[in-house]
Amino acid sequence: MRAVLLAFVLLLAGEALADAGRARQNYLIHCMGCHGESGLGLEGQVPSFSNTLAKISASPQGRDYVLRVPGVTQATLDDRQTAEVLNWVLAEFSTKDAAQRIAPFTAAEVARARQQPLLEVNAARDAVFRTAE
Amino acid sequence: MIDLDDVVERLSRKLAGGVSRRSVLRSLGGLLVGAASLPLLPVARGANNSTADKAQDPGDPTSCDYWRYCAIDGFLCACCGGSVTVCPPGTEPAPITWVGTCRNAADGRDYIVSYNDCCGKSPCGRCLCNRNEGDGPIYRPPVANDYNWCVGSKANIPYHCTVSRIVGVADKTG
Repeated sequence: MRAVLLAFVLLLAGEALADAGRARQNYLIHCMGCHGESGLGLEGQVPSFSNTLAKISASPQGRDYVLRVPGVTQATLDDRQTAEVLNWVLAEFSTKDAAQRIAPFTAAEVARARQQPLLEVNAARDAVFRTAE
Repeated sequence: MIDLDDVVERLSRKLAGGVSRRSVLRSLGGLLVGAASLPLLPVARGANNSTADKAQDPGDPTSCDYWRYCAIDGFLCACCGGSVTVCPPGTEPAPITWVGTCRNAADGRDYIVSYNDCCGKSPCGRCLCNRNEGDGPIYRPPVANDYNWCVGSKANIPYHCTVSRIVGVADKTG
């Protein structure tokens, strides 16, 4: 029981160490070029984050898709900072309620996803959005 | 009953008797010159680079050596009828950009710069700069400056020039 408590405290400490300023900086440098400062993307070309990321991340299939898209698996950030940016994007471009319903992305998830990058991104995206509708 | 015609006539004659044509012209001229001088007043001057602003933003925006252009590859919009941050008339900024960080020698800080291609007119042809600091390979598109990003613009392919917008400060480390 003590070990479980300790793990929980460490997990909370890890979350607390997330740095919103650093996450925003990394978003601007690594994501903004395509997704834009407002996360709106480009219709028909680059997906928008606005109120869609939370929606599709709500299902296991959608969460898996988000973690395996090229922008995540190929980001030149380490796993921890990539997860930090994902969580910042989720909070920044979703309603508060929607963002709070999604468990924070973790560095371990990012590391696992990077071993299985999506090969057919558009097909996977279509399938995820069909399910989320 | 008051006759409006009489009143107007009396007022006109009184005005004509007391005011010379020269004084009218002088007043009108003063008004015109005053209006023309308004942009010179301090408020308008504040919109341009003051000495203090210049100290914080050193260099010539029409020169490739200007600090914000550290990762640029293209024609400078400042030489093409636009400015460092504004596309020239008749063009529009591409929504997809490449992003780099450039150090400002004035304060020693690294700034995040978004390079937006301005699209919709044929290439400007003036002030071609290709500095490439931090430029990435083309298989990493968001950090590669060799692309014509007008492909993503509503104005489509014609590339005219490039602006350099500061979008943040890169002062956070691992």
